[in-house]
Amino acid sequence: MLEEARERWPGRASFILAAVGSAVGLGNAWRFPYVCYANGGGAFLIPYFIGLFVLGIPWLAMELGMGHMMQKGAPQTFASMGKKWEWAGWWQVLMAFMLVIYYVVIMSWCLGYMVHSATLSWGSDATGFFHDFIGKTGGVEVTGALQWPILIGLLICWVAIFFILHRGVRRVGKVVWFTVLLPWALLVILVIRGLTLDGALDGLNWYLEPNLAALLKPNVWVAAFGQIAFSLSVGQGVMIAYASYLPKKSDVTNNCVITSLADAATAFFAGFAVFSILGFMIFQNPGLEIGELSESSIGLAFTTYPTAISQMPTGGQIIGIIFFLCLWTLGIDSAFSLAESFITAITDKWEISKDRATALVCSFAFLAGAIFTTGAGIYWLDIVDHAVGFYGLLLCGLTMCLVVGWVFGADKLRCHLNEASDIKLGKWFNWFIKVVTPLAIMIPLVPALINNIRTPYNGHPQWALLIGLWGALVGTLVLAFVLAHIKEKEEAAK
Amino acid sequence: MSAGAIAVLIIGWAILIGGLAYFIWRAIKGKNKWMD
Repeated sequence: MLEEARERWPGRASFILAAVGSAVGLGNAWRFPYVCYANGGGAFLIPYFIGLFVLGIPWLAMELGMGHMMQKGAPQTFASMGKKWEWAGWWQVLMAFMLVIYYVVIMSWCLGYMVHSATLSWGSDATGFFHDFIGKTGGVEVTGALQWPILIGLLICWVAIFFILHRGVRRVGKVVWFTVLLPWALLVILVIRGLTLDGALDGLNWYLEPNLAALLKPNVWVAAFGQIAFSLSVGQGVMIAYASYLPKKSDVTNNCVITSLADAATAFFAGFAVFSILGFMIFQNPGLEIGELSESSIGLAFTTYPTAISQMPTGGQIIGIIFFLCLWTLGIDSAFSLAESFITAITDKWEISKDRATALVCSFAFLAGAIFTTGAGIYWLDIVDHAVGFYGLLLCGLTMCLVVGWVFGADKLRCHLNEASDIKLGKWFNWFIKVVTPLAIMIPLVPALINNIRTPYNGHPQWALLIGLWGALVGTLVLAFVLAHIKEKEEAAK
Repeated sequence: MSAGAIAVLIIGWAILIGGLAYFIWRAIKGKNKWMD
């Protein structure tokens, strides 16, 4: 009966594209290339691939497998393993919800920059322009004004997400053919343009030149395992929700491997777009050093890349529009998958229509996102991202490994995965879920925790960290327990 | 580009594209070709 009642993906390829789209996000384009360069260049691929097989693939297989087995979103999946564990599922989807609130603000910045690319509005001072664009204040204590262009962009993004999600995964399964394939096509254009610029090969040399001595440094392994954990959309209930819409006879294991490899390939490929441009910038400005230019995340996308675009001999405007459209389309799949994680949790527990749940989630997220469109928004974004996108994700993953591995039984999951999958998992998988993957999760978690206890994260004031970092973690945990104890509609009626 | 960078370029793509091609091929030829 369950098989017939639950909505389904239109096809296997649609599901794989949706999972890949969720995994491939802004981080693939703006985080991986920098992390790779800063941690041994080409040699970084060794810990990265090891991380993919000991951490990424088992973790993703566990989430997809559990969602597929229980046919429910994260909270109800955990509740199926034992009612007392439901909070752990709510914690995951609350993390996803908090993450999408600020993630869509960055997408709104991309929309704004797409418009500004037409005239290269930043001129020769991309950093100053970016600070004006976001209305950046002197610190987190000065809130500053709402930035209306960003707020309008935010509204556009949330309207788009609403229309993608409100009809359920059948529509998502159609949309992803466009939103996943388009950024790949745009990346190809960016790489081709990058490689035709002077100095591009020098840039690729910085990116790929292997420094094998770096493998002896523990922080390189921390960076590799961290990159894997943050890149696969795990620990947020997304993959559990997506897999819950797969029919019973689905090859989950192979879908998992394809998703992981496609995610890694996109990140590796994006490095060619980024470093060919950095090579060009060094060529144009011989006094500059690669170390001064290469930045990750926001710095790379909104200051370094625009500066490079301004210096291009021809077609800078078009490349700018393509670059920010690429970032936006990379982000939209991740954004709606994060929202879907929360929406699935709500519709599974309470009898509320998908339309209504989607409207509620999108409206609330838009309003909450307004905080990040103020002048202090970038500081809060940094703090909350560290809470949710770093600690939250790793803690949720650790909890899931322990509950599935030691309480529910990893072997039950393995047998379920092997039932319909072409690739059969051996008993090694049980020990990965029980021991190896949790230990691998600790690799980025423990050093960061020690560091953040000793010194305030990124120099932010303690009161802001108390609210945005530790408060967000504890607050979502408390809320997760509350949500887990609210009765379902059927229970309440009894 | 240095020999090391070229080697990483080739090995990196061989693993990623080779791996993807292999698993997609298995998905296409496998008995569980499509989900239904």
